[in-house]
Amino acid sequence: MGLIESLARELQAQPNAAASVHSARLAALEHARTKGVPSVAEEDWKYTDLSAVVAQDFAFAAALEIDLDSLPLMALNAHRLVFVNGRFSAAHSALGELPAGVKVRLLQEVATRDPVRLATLLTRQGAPDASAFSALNAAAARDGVDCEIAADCRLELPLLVIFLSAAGALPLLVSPQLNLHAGAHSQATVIELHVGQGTAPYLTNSFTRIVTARGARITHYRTISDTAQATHIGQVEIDVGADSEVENFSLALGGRLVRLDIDCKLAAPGGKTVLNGVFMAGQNQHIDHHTRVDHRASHTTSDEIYKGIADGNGRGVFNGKILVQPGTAKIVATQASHNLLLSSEAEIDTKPELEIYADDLRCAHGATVGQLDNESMFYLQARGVPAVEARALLTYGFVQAAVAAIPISELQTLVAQRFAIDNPVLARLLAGDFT
Amino acid sequence: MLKIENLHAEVDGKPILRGLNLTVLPGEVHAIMGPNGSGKSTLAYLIAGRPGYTVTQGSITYNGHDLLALAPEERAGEGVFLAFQYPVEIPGVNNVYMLKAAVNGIRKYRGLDEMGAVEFLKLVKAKTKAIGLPDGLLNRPVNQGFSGGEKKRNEIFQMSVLEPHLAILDETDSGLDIDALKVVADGVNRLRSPQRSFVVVTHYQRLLDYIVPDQVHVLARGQIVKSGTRELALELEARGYDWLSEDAA
Repeated sequence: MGLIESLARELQAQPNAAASVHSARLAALEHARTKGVPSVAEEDWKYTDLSAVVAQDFAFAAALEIDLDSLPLMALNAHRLVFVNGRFSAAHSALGELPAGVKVRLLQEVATRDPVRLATLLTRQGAPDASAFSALNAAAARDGVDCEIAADCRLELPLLVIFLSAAGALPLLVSPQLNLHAGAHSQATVIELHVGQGTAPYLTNSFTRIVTARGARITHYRTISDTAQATHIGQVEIDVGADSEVENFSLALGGRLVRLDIDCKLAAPGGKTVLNGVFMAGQNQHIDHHTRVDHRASHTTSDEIYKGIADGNGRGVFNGKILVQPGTAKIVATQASHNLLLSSEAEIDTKPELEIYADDLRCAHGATVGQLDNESMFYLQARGVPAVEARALLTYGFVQAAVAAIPISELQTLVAQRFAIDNPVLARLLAGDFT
Repeated sequence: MLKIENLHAEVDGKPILRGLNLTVLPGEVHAIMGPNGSGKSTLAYLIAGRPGYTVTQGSITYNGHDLLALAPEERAGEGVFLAFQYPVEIPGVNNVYMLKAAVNGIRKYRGLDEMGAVEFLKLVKAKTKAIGLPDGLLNRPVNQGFSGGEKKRNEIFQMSVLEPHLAILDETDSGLDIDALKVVADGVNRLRSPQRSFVVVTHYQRLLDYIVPDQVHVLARGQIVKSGTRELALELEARGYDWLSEDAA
């Protein structure tokens, strides 16, 4: 039957939504069916083969025993929403008191109270130019977050959205959705965390949409700590308003097969985006980032730094596209992709892709792939640091500057823990606060 | 403590050391001098265990063990320390983190419990003060953006925290002004004890005004061609190295 037909059956079984929403879902499904799941024959997907994953039949719900103690970031002071296998869990959420002007609603709620809004969002997500996975998320997403921030409103604490997945007998399809509309001159930090438990495989197909109005400042941390059996497909669409700044930080630490598409439109003057990424592909992990920055308006700026590491037989892909549209001027676009290979079997393919149709711009890009520095290894060992720890210290050192720039220490710790797996000494060292 | 016998070594197939002999007893300070390219740094690296150096003949024995059989971190565990001529800059690795990993790596090697964070901080604070290492340097990435003098000071600071039994100083004096030189010398002199030995590799005798050696050796073309007391260093300063090379030839 496969992914798409599993979903078609599920939609037939559960038509209990407003007509406009239901038909938007059906239309999105139809679009996905026509378009088909991308194959490795497509240039953009040549490194990432999903054919085996999407050929499976999927379940859409599963009971799950949650181990709260091992759920990261639960102690973070934040407005917290927790979704378990795609469904909202009130018991684990703690939204707290939101400032006036910040509206956080569940997708379910929007579906009943404001079906026209949801239908519009879903229809756009399944539009003819949308990817099959974007459309599939529109068809499948039952629960998720719709956050609207009014003009001039400032959210002091981060909005933390945790998507926890695990599965039963059949692999589970989880379709999280996160919508953020930031009004003029509003400010917020959003942490989106995808995390898994258990040993059964699941497929996360997530969709995040961030739209900012004039002068808004949004920081979005998107963290993947999925299990070693998980497939994670993530799409992030960012529309940056005039004089607005959106920072997206992708921390891809877990998952077996991961593909992220981060798509940023700078369609109004003065807009700026910062795209940061750190990924760590260990044994049997495949992590593929495709980013796309579309400079549609003059006086727009993009600044992108990705740091990738592959170990064991791990595989990383970075493809960074920068488009500068005709008729624009005063564009500044920088991109850097730095990569570290820790074993002879590891592989990282990095490719900057520039399409520039204007003259008045400053554009710089660079890509490197290297190995741990032998001199540094010897220096640490000569001081008495055992080789395994020296390697881990240098590996973490490779991303340290990027991680240190995150002003939320709990997120830094999450990254440090990833680097300290199988190395408790290093874990304590990185967690220890003797500075 | 350290016994080097008939040591022959090469780098990339090129012979550098050709039958070097050296014996250092506990508590002694030996100075190794010699012209550029004579093999001084090679000797220092061989003792510390840097990869890429091949011993073709001879041995290095340390406290009765075959030092060459040990990995660099095991040598550190045995109490060997090398102050690098060119300390490596390691972006992203905090000085304190590295030092804590080093201290506990060595303790683990010796079968001791790890040092706790509080005790460690206390130790570091005390040593920082003694060496006059600016506080700011401590929490920076290892040697990154340090001036030449700061790097050398950091080496001596690390040495004072790790308290080695045998310290090799590889041209620690090069590029230092007189004040920094005194700091380095003070750091070494403070550590001098009847159990601890030093091998001071230097190009100039200036350092030896402050770290007074028990023996001075001249290394030329891969061998020790002359040994003597402090006066030999002064003579070298006055006459250069050429007369010795001629002697040896």
